[in-house]
Amino acid sequence: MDRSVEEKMMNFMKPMFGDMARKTIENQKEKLNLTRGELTYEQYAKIVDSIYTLCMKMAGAAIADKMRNGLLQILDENRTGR
Amino acid sequence: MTTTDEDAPDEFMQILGLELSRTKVKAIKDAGYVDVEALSKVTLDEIIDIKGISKKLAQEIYYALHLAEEPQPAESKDEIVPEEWQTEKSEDEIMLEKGLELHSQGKWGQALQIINDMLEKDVLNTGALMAKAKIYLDREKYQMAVDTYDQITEINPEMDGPWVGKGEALMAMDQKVRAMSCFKKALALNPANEIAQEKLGEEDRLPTSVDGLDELLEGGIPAKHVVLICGRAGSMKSSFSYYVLHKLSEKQGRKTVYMSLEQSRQSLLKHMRKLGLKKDTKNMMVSDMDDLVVVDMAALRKESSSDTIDNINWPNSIINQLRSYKESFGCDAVVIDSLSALYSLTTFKNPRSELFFFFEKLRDIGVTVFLISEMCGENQNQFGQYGVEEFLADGIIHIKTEEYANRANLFLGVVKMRETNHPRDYFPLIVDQFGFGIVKD
Repeated sequence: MDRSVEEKMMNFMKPMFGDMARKTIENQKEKLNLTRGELTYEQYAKIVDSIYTLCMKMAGAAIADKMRNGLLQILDENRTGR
Repeated sequence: MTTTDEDAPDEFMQILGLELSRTKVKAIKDAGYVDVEALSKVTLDEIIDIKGISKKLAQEIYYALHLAEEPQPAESKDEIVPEEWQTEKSEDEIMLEKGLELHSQGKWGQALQIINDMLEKDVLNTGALMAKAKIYLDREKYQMAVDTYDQITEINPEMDGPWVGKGEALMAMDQKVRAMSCFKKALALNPANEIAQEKLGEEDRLPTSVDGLDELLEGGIPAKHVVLICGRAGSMKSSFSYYVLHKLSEKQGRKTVYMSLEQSRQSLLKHMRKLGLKKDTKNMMVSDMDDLVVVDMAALRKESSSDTIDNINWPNSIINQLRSYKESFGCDAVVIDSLSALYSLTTFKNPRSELFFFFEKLRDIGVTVFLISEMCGENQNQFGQYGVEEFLADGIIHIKTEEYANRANLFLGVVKMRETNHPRDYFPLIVDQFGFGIVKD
């Protein structure tokens, strides 16, 4: 998938992560060993799951659900080229 | 036809034999119609809008001024008659207009008599009840007005008017918190209700729900203020602030965020649960609802390397985060716990200037901000680490601990609250199963 999707994910994550949004995506990539090359939809979905887990810890289920749904929607839109 | 101001009243009084009182003529002139010619150019609705002129009288004036247009009995079925002339008023409408006319003339007793007669025939006549409540309101019989408005809302819960009236009566009784919730109710029923919009815009305050405190604060903390919650360690600053957010969400449905920079979400919620701050029904924390969200920034910090954390401008990051949060999820109030923790993450080159911009940007977000601050200084009598916070904040609530009989007692004082007349005394602060409360004499 095009890396521009990360910019969209980062903007969506700002309400919860502020200026740490970009770094949070990078941290999850490192954790999941997904630092090399262009990532697939499934790999980005794993990153979203990881962000969801962090969000659960940070702000509880309601916000974590919103975050996951929003990020998955961004991935879906990017996959279909919308 | 033009006349001078002096002779205009006579001219008005002679409108086709209508016997207009000087009060009515004055009302017409006050509305900007200096002579008959000016009045003859306006529509019926515009005459009805003149304060002090009843609908019936407005129609009489309008017909008198437009004699040639006055409706005659229809001679043929094709004749077009303006709709307002066709409408036949019910007996009730005529009675009510008569009552309101008497009311506008200051004849309260007679007006009430007419309205009471109407209510004897039909106790559920909301029009008559509204008129009755308005008379009570104008006569400064506020409790009677409130009772009457309550009757109307029981009969018809969908009417916004009685909520506005009740709000006005409660405002006059100095019960601003209740009054504001009435205006909110009116606005919920009718978002276009201009009076409710205006009242809420003028006086939007966030009640703390701390028993006794809101009365001291004219109903609560003015919306969009940046307020320091200060005290030494163990003075329950966090619990107090969480309690305020919890009640704002629970009672008013306000969207709130508790941003913890040090204490974990789990630990904070466990502590609040012990204070009884949970939903009764499903044993679910209020923070599990959408309205109050606890954001554990410490968890995020733990995720990142120290290099990353050092490179972040935390005051700016928090500002950006809150701004985005408000845009995405909505937010009325936020607690930042704490300023000391924020300072530990930040190296200020010029604290006075940088803190000035931090407070200004917080204010610009347009939410009410509670900043928890540890007391500093030699005797711990400084409200913030840099000594400028107290000047930059719109309000300061100080919780102090005093030792008495081997017990650390809590006292609460409002040291500063802009746009509010408040006493500067310290009051004992009680925390029990009912929540927080201050003890007044």
